[in-house]
Amino acid sequence: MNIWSAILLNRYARLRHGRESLHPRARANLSALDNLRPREPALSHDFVVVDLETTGLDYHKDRVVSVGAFRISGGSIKLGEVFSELVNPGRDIPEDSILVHAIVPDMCRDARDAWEVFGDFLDFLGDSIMVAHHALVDLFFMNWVMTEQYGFRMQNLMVDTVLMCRTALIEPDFYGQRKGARRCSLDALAERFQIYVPERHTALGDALATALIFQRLMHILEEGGWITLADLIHIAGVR
Amino acid sequence: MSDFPLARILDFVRTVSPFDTLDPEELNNLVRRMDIAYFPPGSKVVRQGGDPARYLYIIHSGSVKLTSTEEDGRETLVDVRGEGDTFGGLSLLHSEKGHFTVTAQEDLLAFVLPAADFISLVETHPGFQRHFKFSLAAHDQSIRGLTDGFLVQMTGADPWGDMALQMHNRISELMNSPVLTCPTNTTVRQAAQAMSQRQVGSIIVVDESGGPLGVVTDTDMRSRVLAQGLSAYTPVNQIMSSPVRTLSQRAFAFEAMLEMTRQGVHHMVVADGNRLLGMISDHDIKIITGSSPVGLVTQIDKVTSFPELARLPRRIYRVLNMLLRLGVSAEYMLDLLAEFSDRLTLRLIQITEQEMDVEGMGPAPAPFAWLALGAWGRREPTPPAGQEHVLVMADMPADQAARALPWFQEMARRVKQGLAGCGFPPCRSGLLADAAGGCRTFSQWRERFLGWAREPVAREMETAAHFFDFRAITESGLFEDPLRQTVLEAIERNRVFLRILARAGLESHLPLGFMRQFVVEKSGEFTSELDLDVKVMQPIVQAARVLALDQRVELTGTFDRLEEVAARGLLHRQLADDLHEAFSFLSLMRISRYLEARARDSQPEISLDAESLNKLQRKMLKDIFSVVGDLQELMTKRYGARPAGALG
Repeated sequence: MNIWSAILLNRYARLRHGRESLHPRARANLSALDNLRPREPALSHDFVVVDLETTGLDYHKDRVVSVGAFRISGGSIKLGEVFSELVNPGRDIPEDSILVHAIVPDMCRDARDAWEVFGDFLDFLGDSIMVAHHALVDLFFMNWVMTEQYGFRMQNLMVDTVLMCRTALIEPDFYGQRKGARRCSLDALAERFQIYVPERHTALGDALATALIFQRLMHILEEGGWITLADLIHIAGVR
Repeated sequence: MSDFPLARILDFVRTVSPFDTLDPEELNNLVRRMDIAYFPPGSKVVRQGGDPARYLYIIHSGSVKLTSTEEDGRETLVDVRGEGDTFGGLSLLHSEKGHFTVTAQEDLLAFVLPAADFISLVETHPGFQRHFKFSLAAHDQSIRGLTDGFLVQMTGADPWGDMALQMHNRISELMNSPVLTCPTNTTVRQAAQAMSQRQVGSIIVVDESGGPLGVVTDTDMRSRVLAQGLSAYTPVNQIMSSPVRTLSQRAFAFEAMLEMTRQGVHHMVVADGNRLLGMISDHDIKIITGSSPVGLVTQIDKVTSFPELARLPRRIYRVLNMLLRLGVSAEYMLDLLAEFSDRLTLRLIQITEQEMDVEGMGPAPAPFAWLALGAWGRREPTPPAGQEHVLVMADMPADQAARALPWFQEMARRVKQGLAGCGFPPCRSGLLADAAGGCRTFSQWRERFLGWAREPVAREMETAAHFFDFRAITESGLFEDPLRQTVLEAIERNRVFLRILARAGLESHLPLGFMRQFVVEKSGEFTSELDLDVKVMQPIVQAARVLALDQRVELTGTFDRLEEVAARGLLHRQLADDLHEAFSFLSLMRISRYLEARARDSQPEISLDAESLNKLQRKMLKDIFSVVGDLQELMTKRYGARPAGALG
């Protein structure tokens, strides 16, 4: 994706929704791209690495059950700026997904609803750039709540570590064979970088693993000198 | 505030000393102040002389090396730190520029704590204060395996810790400059006037170009002029101590201390080549240390009773402790230990002689020599080295010898007990001067040695080996040199002896099971305990001994022997250097383990538990095993073939 088109789309969204009476949170999100410095080093910006655990991958039926996020500032993962909360999915939690994230319905009974948690998450996020592994999935679930709640999509930029991995580690895939796909899985990358996060498959554990992988991938991308935010978005931005 | 959501991160930080002293609540809050930072291999995390550090770094995975760049551009490795170690603390505490350059060796993942949080921790927690105040001095802790508990414990009670830091001062900061000088034709009287005018205790005699030629001290004036009745108009060059011992201005204070200790002097001249810069005395060092370790060794000579002597070892261990933290080499420490134990033995012998005379048993009935054997003979008595010694009496008629024997045996018994009282237990092999056959006349000993050399018997070789490291402690070179020459000649005539001696050494196998343990996960099959001395150090010692005897090298120290044998081309230079390194490391490890046990007031363990080793130590040991393996292979090739003939 191109950072300039993201900024253009943001202008358009602002034109459309700017005059509506908006929740302050929504209004803040509309100006999430105001402080970007596309030609400055990417790592001079704040990032929020996010991971969602869901009841499944069916966009129509499935819902979020937990949110985990870490902030990266100046290239370092801030252990003090952590977002971690269970979400009441408002539906049953299928057994096969419980096997993955080990969140059982009882745990979510007292959890808040998605829109409440999401509101707090937006405050935590601020105008940081989001990072996720297979970011489109997370982005879809977030936009789902966002549009329902505020009438427009998330304005923050989103970086996909899978795309970073393809550029940094895997040779170009001209014929779309997706040979390297398996090597870009979170497990494969964690193995490759010898990152052992024992709390894998919790939203926060996966977010931490993704954050650690992001640090490594950034370093590999910067091998020949730092890269600008515009470059990073060009390589790995999704929308 | 709720618990930190990732328990494993808390668990990790909890294991890092001194964070393990925090209560859960504090730890929980502290972890939230930390960041996780990543550094690729080769990146410089802190630069020497660069901006003051902004963080304390706790290594989560990977390792870093600390290097220091000298003024001449040489880079020296100060330390390697691994998982669970910290760095950056010292520079933070003093808000100074980085002391060392810290470079990531592998992918480095570190938890970093901002300066402000770290400093407030140090201010409010005595444990942190003790730990980080000495982190510089403890730089070799990770290599030498002093546990953090030990350090905190030691530094808590030990005033030497503070000193350790200061001993890293350069001489140039401590020396007296300018110094009082005079030309060679100055009279003693003029020199004395100049000295009292400047109120100094010494004057340096210089040549026309200002280069130092000699030193004259107050003591010299007293002992060499007044006591000798020389005229006040004697030129100073007749009484000066010359040549002068010089030190570089870049040397560390502890180096000056060691140098003075080794040479038994109280002043040293600081010079850059031939250019006189200043003067340093043990008094200047005393100001740092509060007491003078320089005097420790020489002080032994002034002690007059057993109980007084028995108090000295405690001091030598404190000095060792400090040296260990300063990162002083194993050779220096062994040297100091040897010097100490030699003088201690000598003094014990002298005191005993006097005592026995006073008790009416009379003086020594004949001249004698006290021979140190084994590790003592090699000048490497790494504690807890057991005493090994024999006594040589001068040749005399048989009836006279029979009468003299009880006196010598009594003396040997007392000296042995004295040494035991100083913390040196008698050795297990029973090679002691008071044991049966421990006192013999020169001719009897000569026969004994020749017997071994001419007709070696494999089962006696282990004992005999200890004898071949003999060294006279009493000053009587009367017996030592002839004995050594006889032995070396006999060996040269009977090369079979070397093969048998070598094979006796090859019988101890490297503990490969222990080594596999490093690779494979712990399972019941492999022993996890290792006697470092017997299994790893002795093969090196034995090989060095055989090679040295082979080449008629008279030196007894393992370092010296290896060096000499390598110089003669019998050992590959690389292997010799590796062995040197290995032996240093093992000696240091033994010394530090001994000191650690002493500090805990527990019996030093003889064997090493594989599980108590950190990653770095394991790596070192693995390397050492492979070096020792190479050496054993070489020995097998050279001496391994079964000797033809006589012994079958």
